[in-house]
Amino acid sequence: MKITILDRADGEEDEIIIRCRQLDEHILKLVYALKAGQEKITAVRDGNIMQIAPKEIYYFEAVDNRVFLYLEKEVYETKYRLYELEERFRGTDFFRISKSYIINLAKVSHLSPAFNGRFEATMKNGERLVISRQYVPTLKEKLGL
Amino acid sequence: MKKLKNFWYVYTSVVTCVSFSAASFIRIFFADALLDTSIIWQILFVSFLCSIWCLLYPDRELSKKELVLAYTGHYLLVNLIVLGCGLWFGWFYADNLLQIIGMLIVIAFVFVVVCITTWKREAHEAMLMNERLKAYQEKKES
Repeated sequence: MKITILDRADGEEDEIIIRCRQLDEHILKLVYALKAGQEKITAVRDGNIMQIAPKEIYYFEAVDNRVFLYLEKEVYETKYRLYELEERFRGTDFFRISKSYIINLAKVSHLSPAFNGRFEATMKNGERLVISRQYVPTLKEKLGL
Repeated sequence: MKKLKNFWYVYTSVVTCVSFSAASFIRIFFADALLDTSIIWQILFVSFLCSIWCLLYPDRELSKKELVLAYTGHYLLVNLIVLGCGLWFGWFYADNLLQIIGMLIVIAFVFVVVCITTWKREAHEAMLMNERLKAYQEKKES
């Protein structure tokens, strides 16, 4: 794939143009990654609305029809459903690990076995989350195993 | 398919451990006995009955409490199967307490060894995944 980076004139907006014959999986992943990396997530905490960069997020958790996003120490609530977030961050570092969690692989410190085919992800802030058996094959595939 | 592969792994581990335990049990309690070759089929059959239950572990996510209950239930069932089949095949005498205790020790030994080997296998998988995860993160950062 040929990559060309052009200088833009002052006042013009940064723009990425993808010229291809077909939108294959590789290019789609690239588009998702670009979009997800740029778009911030709107979240609420103590009545204050915040814009949070995806790279700051450790994981999302769904509890009783509410979705929370966890940073290193803070917790925010977001209006998005977990399946919407899964779709939005498809092809990025975010990965569904169970019915209620999506984690940011960039924030995982290490993985360890947790009996009966399950694994446990220890996040860089020390929190531990269980990866369901059904999501383990997809994770292995994502890691190239 | 994953379940079948897991079953096969557990089954072969159980057969290996049971063969080793049976050899020890026979050496201790029936040192001079002449055994029928059917004991090999009996070991394969009982090992199958003990392993097949891992196919029945539910697919849904189990809580820690449910997992402990499932393992305890499986262990008790394995005891029932081995003691029942053992009596039927004449592996031990019901009125010989020492032999019964020997059987219970053998069952516990096999169960623990199979659990440990399964754990080790998953730990090896985790190690590979950690290596790839590290490479994945380094690639993303660069």
